[in-house]
Amino acid sequence: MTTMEIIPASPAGIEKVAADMKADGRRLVVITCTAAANDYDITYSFAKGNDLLHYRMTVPEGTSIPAIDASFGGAFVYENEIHDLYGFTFTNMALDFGGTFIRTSVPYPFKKKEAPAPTVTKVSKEDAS
Amino acid sequence: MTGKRTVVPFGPQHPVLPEPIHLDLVIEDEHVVEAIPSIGYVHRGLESLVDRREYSDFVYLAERICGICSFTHSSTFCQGVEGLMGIEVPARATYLRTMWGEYSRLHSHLLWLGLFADALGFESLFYNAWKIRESILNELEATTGGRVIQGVCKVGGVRRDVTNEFLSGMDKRLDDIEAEMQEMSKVFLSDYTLKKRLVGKGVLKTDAAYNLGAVGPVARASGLVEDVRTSGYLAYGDISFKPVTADGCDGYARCEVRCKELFQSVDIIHQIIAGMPEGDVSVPVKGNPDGEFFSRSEQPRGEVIHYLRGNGTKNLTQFRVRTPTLTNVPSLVAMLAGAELADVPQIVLTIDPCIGCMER
Repeated sequence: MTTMEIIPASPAGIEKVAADMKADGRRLVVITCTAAANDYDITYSFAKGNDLLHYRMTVPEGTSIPAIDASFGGAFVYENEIHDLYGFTFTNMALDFGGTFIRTSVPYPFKKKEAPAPTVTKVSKEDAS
Repeated sequence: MTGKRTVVPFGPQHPVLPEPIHLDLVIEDEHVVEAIPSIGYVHRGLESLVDRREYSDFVYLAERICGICSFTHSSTFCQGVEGLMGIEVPARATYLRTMWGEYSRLHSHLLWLGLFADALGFESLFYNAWKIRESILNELEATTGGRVIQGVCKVGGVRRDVTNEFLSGMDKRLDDIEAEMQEMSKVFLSDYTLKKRLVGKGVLKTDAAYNLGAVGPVARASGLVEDVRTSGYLAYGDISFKPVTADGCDGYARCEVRCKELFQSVDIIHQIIAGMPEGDVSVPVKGNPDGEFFSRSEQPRGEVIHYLRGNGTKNLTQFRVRTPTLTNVPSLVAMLAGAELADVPQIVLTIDPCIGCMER
């Protein structure tokens, strides 16, 4: 199994992580949201030259996350995208589109769906005859 | 300044935009105070298909993320799966991928230069750029079978080999193409009107470019040496090259970087052909991807990232793409602040926006 080095983070500490990364001369490369087993993984990737560093928070659906726009002004595109596709709320975004950055026909299309109800109705043998 | 502000909508359909992006321009006395972007007009949700298509078949979908960046999307995706599965791709395949990647850069930059000339009213320059691009597309077609969508990358290598005789012919033909590009670039870089429309327009200072995460020619035109090719992926580790940078930080500098990158790509292809190793172009692939991987490449527009996560089955469980245009949007917003309304179209074009790529 291939693994990457990932440093754990939390919503409460992410602003400090971002400030530290900026102080270290790193740039924000991407914020990636992916559905994990029960929760969601939100991974912040920072680069210095060709060296990538990843910080990850694993959070349940609907968690409110502080924006890191104070350190990296360009973070608003990823934060708005994650909000529009997954439904997470980011507080204090530099530019908050309020859900209109990516206009999708279905709200939060990448949010985990509940298991669909069965479409086949079982008929008892007596009724079938 | 009168202090009276007006909001002027720009796009999503606009004569200079081949693809739709919308900007609300807050205007005061013909100057842009603020530009607020919105995207999502061509969002296709391609990433969510990854759990319904086998990883080997998803290569075809990955390269349809974008027409112009198609080859790099497919090679970046394959590189990600190969990273997950620990597959060692034959050297000849990595050289061929590098060669096709550089041909893609040539055709992308020539396409942009043509569109840019057209947007500024230089019709014959536009035709000239696209005429040269045709020669590049012919080479791609002759070697891969496809002009824009090549379908030549696969997990474990590439589907086609190119004979050494044909490579020699390509090497010679590149000299003629280079001579034509030389003539064309002279106009782009020395024409009075083009300079008048570009110098000092859409300024993005070095610090701002870094802090806003600019990548590709946008970053390099602001003096940043940001180029994933320097990490040595594919065959770039064997190639001698230096990222093209400019310090103008304006629209002219971005045009200059792309013009100079044309010649850099030609030089890289010459080196690739000269050093092409013998051997197979693919290896058999067994098993399924497990784990997670960030695959990075340098597209014509800048750094692209494919994030892949597998669980040991034939389907990946997650796939996320971060394209250069998305990460250059904050830089575009910064460039537009303070610009004159009349300069907005060419400033938007200077980031070479690729909306299909951006929205997947």
